[in-house]
Amino acid sequence: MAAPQSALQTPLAAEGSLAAPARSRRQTLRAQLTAYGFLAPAGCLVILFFFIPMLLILFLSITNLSTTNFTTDVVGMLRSDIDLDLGSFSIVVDEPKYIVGLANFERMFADEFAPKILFNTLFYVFCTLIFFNVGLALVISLLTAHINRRAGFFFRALWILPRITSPAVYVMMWRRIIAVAPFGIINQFNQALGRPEVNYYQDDPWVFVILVNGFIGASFGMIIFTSAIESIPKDLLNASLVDGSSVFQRIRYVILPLLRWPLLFVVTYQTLSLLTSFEYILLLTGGGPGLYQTEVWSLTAYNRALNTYFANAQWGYGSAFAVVLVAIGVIMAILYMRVFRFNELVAEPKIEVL
Amino acid sequence: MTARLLSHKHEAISSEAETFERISTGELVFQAVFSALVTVMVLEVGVIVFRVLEPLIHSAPRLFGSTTTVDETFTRAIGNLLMLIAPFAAYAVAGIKMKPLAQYNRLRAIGAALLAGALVYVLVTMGQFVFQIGPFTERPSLQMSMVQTDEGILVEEVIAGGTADDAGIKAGDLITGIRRAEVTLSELTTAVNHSKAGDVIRLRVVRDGEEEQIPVEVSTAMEISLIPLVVGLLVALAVAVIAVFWPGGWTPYALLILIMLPLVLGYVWLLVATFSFRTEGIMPVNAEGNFGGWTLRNWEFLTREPTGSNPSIWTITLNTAVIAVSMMAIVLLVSSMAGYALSRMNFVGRKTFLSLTLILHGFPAVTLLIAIFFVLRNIGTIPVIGDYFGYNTRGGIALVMVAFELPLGVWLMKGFFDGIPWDIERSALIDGASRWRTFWEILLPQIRPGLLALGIFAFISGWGAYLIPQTYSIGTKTATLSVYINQLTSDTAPVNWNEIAAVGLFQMLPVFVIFIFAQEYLLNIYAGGTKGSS
Repeated sequence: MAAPQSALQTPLAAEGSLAAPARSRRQTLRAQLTAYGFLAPAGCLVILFFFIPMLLILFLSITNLSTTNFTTDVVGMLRSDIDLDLGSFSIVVDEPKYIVGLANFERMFADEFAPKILFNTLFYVFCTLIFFNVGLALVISLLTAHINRRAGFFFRALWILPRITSPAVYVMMWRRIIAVAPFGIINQFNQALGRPEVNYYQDDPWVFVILVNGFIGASFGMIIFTSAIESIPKDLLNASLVDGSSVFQRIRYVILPLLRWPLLFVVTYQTLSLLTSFEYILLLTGGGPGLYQTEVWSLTAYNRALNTYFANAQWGYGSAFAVVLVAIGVIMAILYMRVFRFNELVAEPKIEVL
Repeated sequence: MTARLLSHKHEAISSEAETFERISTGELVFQAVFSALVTVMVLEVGVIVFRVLEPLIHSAPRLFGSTTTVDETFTRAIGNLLMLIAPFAAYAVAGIKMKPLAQYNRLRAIGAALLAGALVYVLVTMGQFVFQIGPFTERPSLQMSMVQTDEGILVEEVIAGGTADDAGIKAGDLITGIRRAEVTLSELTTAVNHSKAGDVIRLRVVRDGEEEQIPVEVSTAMEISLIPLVVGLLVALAVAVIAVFWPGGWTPYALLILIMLPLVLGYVWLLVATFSFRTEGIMPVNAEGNFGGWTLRNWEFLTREPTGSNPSIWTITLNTAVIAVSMMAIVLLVSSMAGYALSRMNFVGRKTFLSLTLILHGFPAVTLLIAIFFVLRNIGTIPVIGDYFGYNTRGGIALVMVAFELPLGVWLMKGFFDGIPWDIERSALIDGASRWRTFWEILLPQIRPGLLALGIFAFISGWGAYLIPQTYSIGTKTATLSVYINQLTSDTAPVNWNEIAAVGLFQMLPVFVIFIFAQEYLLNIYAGGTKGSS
């Protein structure tokens, strides 16, 4: 049944592709316009919320915009600096000056706490990535690959749960896990075992910042690694089985070498995610409990510019922090496209348009 | 082939049996204890490695020219964790060594495992005693034993020469408070635990009917009580015996459950807390601190009348639903339209648009939050449109979230359209249907699974959204449930955690129902769809 059908369709398809060059210019133009019509809503949103903000944040980073001289009028900010009075050929300077050049960046590099925040960021990204987003993810996917298929699926599905739990609820759960006696769950076990009570939030805030993020981050790598492990040809594993390899030898010499590509993908993708995401740190510690103790770079940008808790918002200075991340983000995103051969995915559509 | 392998294995077992007959139990136990101690050593070397790393990390900011230091480190926690699991690993190894023996002589294997487990326990405990760790950790103490009575805390015994003795407290005294505050024994214990050696606690003591305040300096002591030691021994023996009969196939399951333990505990707490008066750890307690106290009062927020500063929960739920549903609808429409154009049409700039989608998919959109604040502010100044899509409006929040999901949505939709055969659409176009009609009536029904997956994804991220609503709304007018929950937790008024837990569970319910029915879709989509979050 299937064979004759495709035989019938082939000439039709050929006719279609032959017909294409024969279209008039008007038809082509109309087809183009239809295509742009379909793309318009997405295009507008992307321009409005990706491109304009990208330019805007570059601009904001060279201004001194803060609560004291707040305005949303971007053009007005520009004009106030370069307003030329053509009548007398003099420059009017009585309006507030906004553009301060690279002063924000100079201030950022001179900031007493910038090295600490930078180190915090690197430490946080490194630990979360190695121990959880890659390490734990690999452990879970290897473990679930070695058990009953349905049970493996069940465990992997459970790991999605933190990701779909609202950040506020998820962080509240962790706060109760680490709270002091009599409320804390770990401290309840400590008491039962006769161990001393520990104020984990005060003593080891980093551990919990990393745990809270890691337990969410692990599921991304887990899914990627699992699909990679499942696509390993069974022949390879059977061959190693016949050769009498142990489980660990199979993992070390068969599975892991084949996971090199997914590993690279997860490492690069998650590095960027961790570098820029701060939602859970904001909710769990907000950068505390000590002075900048768990503050990371992206959180600094947010706190300086948008956190209503600190009354004096410094949009200009915060933008300077954000610009660093935007630059890293753009460079890495373009690198992905090159490294992971996305060009092949972007190939021409196989079917010609009518 | 198989038969030969089996017979070979059989031979191996019987020769092994003979080997075990010759070896005495003592020698077996010695071997087991030896391997167990090697395990402990290896793990402790790990601890030492992490302890060595600690000062390195501690001083790392100095490499960046900073005078600040890192106070707490993750490496110390890993070291502590290794130290915690080392004894258990040792007991397990002792048991595992008896596995071959258990195949033909169970009783002897159990006996040997018990002996080896007990020996390892004694050695480990001696080690802990020498290094003053585990149950022998020094902790703040008043160096007297007390018991709770109706009148107050009765001092049963004072250690001679101890800090309480120095301060002049005698057996038979009745402690009623710290300074002016009344205390119970558990409160006093907590106060002592939280203080450092050298701190002074002023106890209000009643002696012979007269009240006086006695300052007692907190000292440290190694309080050795028998119960943890006995419990430890029993655990050691149990682990050793279980290890003997542990089927290899169970290990992955046990490990998976062990790794998930924090999450499981967290979710169990959430469930227990919502239905109880108060919780201590994950145990529900009543007002007196005993097990029990089940109540539905935490769910009263569902029927509470709105007051000035507290909006009704249903208003917030409606807000959240409006944001989540409208976001889902717009994401589906906009990204399927764009996906259709990219998959089916050839136009100038197609390749640019596609690679742009991919770059944006990799780009972390959260870094633009500050600038988007100004974009929304400026939209707000436009008449009419500004009232619905500007700063501090539901529409504005929804639009920003839609934009953040778009790169993923467009890419996914393009993939789904690519998988649909061209012929169905062709016949409709030949019959004279417009592109839009073909898209809307013919193709969209074909990619229903894709729409479902993306729709679920968008709804869940809209429903739980915290950062964007929090950043782009003032007050609770446009707040989502997540924002509301976080506001409750940071209230200055006394926080009723159990009620917040109930609100949290209430917020989770729809997502949880979707989760149960759509696990497979979710697992697939999250591989391509992690934006912004770690």
